[in-house]
Amino acid sequence: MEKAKGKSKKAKVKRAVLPSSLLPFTFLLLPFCLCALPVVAHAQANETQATGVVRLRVRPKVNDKEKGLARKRFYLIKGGLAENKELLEKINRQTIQTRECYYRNIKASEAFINWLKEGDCESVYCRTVEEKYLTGASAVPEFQAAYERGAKEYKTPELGRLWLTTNLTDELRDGFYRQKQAALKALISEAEIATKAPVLSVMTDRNGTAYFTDLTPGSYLVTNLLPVEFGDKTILWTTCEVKVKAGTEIPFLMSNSSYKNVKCVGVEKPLPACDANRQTASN
Amino acid sequence: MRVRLVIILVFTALAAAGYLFPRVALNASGEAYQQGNRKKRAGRTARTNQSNRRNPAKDYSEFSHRTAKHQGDCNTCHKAPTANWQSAAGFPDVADFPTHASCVGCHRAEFFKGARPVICSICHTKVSPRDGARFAFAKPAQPSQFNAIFPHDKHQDVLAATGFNKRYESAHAVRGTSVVQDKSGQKYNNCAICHETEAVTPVPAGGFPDNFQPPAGTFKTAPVGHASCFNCHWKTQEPTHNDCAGCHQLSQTDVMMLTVPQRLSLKFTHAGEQHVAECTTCHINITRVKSVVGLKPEVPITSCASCHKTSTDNTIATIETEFEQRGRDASFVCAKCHTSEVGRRAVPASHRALFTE
Repeated sequence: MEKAKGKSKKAKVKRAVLPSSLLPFTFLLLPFCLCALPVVAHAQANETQATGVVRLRVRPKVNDKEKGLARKRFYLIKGGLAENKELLEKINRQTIQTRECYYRNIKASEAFINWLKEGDCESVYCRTVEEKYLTGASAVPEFQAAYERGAKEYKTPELGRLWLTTNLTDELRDGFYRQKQAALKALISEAEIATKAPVLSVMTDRNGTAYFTDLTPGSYLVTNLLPVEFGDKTILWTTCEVKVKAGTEIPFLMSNSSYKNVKCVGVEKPLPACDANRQTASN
Repeated sequence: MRVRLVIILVFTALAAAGYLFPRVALNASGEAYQQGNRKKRAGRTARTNQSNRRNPAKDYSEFSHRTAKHQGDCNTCHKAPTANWQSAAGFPDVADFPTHASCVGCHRAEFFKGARPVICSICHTKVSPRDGARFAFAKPAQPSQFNAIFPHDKHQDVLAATGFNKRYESAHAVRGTSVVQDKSGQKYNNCAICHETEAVTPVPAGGFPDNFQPPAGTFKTAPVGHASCFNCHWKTQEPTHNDCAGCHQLSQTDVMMLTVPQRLSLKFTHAGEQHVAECTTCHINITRVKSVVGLKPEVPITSCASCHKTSTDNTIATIETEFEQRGRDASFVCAKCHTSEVGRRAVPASHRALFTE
């Protein structure tokens, strides 16, 4: 028994001696460590491939009937509500002119504003300018003038019509879009600095569905960053937190009111009335 | 003491081996080592080529925008529009090569070298003082020296309308027609403004695998040339016609345009009767794409599975029936969507996931 004890003591002593005696030689292991790096990195890359998907469905209710919110951009910000508190406050404080107020402010004609409204367009690029808007009772003065300039410049009336937007002023053509983009860019940049992760964006299809794919597991915020115009109201989603799990597709229904399966309800506000003074839609 | 000595010797030997034979130490690092060597070799070759190029035997039959002296402002050589725009393009365009004046300043000697100066063959089909015929600008059959800068997402934003609108055309329809009937006759811009259904299916050299001939309407077109750009970007809307670099980025390697789209599911046709959904219904990642460089309009299998996963009709091949057959026979080739070179590959995880939920 004592002999055995003595042996184990000896072994303990040997084990204790090994590390200290090898310390001066540990630098010799450097090449092995360096060689092992790619293997570790490869393993980590495999781990990151375990991603999840968020299936977004944006279906606000109009007259008690839900409808897909088509062709709207939604953004995915890394982190949950708590981590993005400051950013969310900023989003909520953001003010942006409504479409109608913008065009009234730049003194667009009533016919021009009606043409945009008719097609629910944000800019002149959304639909073709048909001939009926160039002459006669339905003529839009801005289009008429641009068409006449284009017909001379481009030698043919048809090219004058098809290239009509090249003869519109910057403000009329895409000023509203640029104004919104500037506000969005500032918010996205702030979010990316705060979260140290890129902000992803997707556009909804006709049914209000969109997908965020290849997401690393964790918490995210889904938001439209700027209020979306929706009939005579605006809606802003800022409190939508979604938890992504690896290998799963998370259905995430958003609306303006709470009904079955709705995961996040946006804040709805009436569109402000526009007058001669600059009007903004604040959140 | 002896044991300690042995251990130290073994460590020293291993470390020495690691330094001397890094390739053998670990396979992964060996690959990295080889790649490093390959890069070094490639660097040496490139430098040798460069020095060869500096030799007097210059090839004046090819023009390169990569030559340092050819990288001045574009409008020092290219005029927009060119004098021939009406006959050549039908719209204001850069539709012809620069004039002699752009070249002769530096290359006077080459212009008058011999009876048939080789420099003329860059633009002219025949080297002859009596024949001024030129190639079609800008030699469309040749690879481009430029990459296209095109923010796909921005264009989707401005072409999309706001709010509810049932009158969007399906992008699976030919431009100007509407699957969702539009009683007002208004034409809304959307994907179809740039991507039309291809009336004639392009065939690659050597044909498609299995001699498969995709029917007309299988593919969509992609914009080529200025026709799809200048109608908005001719002036005022930047980048405009005189800001070539706004869209064209000089590439260090030749850029070959794909004349035939590459598909995993070659048997899918956009013009299929049932394939009338909106583009983004299947191309679910397309709206997040910021650039066209490296763009792959991938369609995940889930988009197909909504209709093709199962069927109660036993005579119809579905993903499920083919998946089962592959399970029974590893050599089974999935043929409903794929030609054989794809159909015989291992079943990808995305497909397996459809049946593991």
